[in-house]
Amino acid sequence: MNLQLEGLVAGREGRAVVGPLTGAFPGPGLHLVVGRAGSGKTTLLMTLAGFLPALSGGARVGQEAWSAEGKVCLAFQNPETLFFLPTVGEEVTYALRARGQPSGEAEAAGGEWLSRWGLPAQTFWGRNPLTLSGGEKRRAALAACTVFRPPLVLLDEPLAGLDAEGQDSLLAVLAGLAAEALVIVVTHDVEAFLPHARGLLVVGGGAGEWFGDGRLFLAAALARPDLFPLPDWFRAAVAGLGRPPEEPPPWPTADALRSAATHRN
Amino acid sequence: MRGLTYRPADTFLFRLHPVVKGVGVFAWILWFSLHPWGLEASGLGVALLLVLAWAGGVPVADTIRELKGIVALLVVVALVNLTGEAGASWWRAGDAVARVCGIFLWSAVLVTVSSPAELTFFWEQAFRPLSVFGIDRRELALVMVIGIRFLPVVLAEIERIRMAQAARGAGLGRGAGLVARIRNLLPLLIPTLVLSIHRAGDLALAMEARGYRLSGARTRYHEFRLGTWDLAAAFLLLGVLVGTIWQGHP
Repeated sequence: MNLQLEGLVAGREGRAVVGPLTGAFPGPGLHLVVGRAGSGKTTLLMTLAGFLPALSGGARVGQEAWSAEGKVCLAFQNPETLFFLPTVGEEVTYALRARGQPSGEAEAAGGEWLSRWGLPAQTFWGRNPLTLSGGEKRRAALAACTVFRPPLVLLDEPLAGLDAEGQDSLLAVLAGLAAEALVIVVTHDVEAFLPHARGLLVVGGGAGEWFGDGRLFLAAALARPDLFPLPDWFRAAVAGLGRPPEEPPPWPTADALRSAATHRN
Repeated sequence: MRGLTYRPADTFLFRLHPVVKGVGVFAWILWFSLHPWGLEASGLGVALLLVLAWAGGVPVADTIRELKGIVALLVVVALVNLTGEAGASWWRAGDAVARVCGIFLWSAVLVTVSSPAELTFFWEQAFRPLSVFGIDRRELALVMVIGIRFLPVVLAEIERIRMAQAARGAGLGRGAGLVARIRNLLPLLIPTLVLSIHRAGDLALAMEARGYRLSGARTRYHEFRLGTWDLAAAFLLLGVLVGTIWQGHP
């Protein structure tokens, strides 16, 4: 699905926080929403999910106005916020059972889906989600959110608190998910997502800035540090890859970055 | 109703003796229930309440906003008074709604101006007659206070679970009819009950870990003494109540 924003202004309690935004999130694919803290990224996600009403403007899919009910999942920044059932198994099958799927089918599909997120069902099915480690909680929350395969997946800081290995494996799952759904991710870890990003929106006052490709955003962010504060190590590592000034920056794959960082040291 | 919680301040309402606060609120509840003068008096009572609360440092706008939580009740009360026996009228429905608002708002003011220690003290005194039947008044008082203290927490928990379910594609129920909204509440009840039981267990453990026991005599960290203002407020309230009963049922 292609989600088109048309002058969307998102805010809380009648106060505008972000917008008016006009642009498109073409799907399937992974799109990033980035910006400084307090720029309205989470408010935008909550508006797209139907948790907050749009202050003006709106969104549409094709010719129809966007209605989020039943077609979207939203994973909050704190995974614990999503848990309300005593076991991981019940959490993961909740959305399927709520849609009338028989218990047996829901458990089979839920177990398979949970394993896809790196939590083998035979180990985690009966565990209380609140007793899992930070990374496991995040995976369980993402699995529980996405198990019903919604066409729009909204994720708020899905990599927060994960180590490099955990981030890599979660990114691989998210890339797979983005092959079949429109995935919009709010993140500060932009460098981790860039190789997977089909599009990018920088919010932070007014209309925001849309980029149709992660590479264009990277070029702009390197040229204009005020656009987005890329981490110093990432900026230095990309610079270390070297390029003639008239060419676009080379694509910073993980291996190339590690190699450049090692070479600099 | 998450805003219904103690908000400390240093005004005459907050400084009143806990028993005067509690009895005073119950006197006002009785007044709203018994007075015979119709909508004008109920409206005046609510206005007086709001002025007193405002002068006493209670965040009145926030308190009024809490009325959202009883809108369904107010609608039912109004409908019953509009469609009931002969003589039902908008005037009477308005009176009934104003009385319910008055009772709710006074209860909200009591919770706002009383610390948990003050509420415990008040309930202990209120349950004192039950000691005759061998019932431990301190235990009952503790149950009441924990109930009031944790009401906002439970409501916040319900909201969190509602959000968690909606985050997985369940309906938010906004704009739906009353029946649909009640039906939407059903999936929330079991998780809320289970989490409340867990929370109660955790609270009991925490209290025992800090040495809380009901047995044996206890000293008080906060000593409450009646002052001149307390007596004046008590007599004033007593006068209003007795006058109302006298006028309504001579």
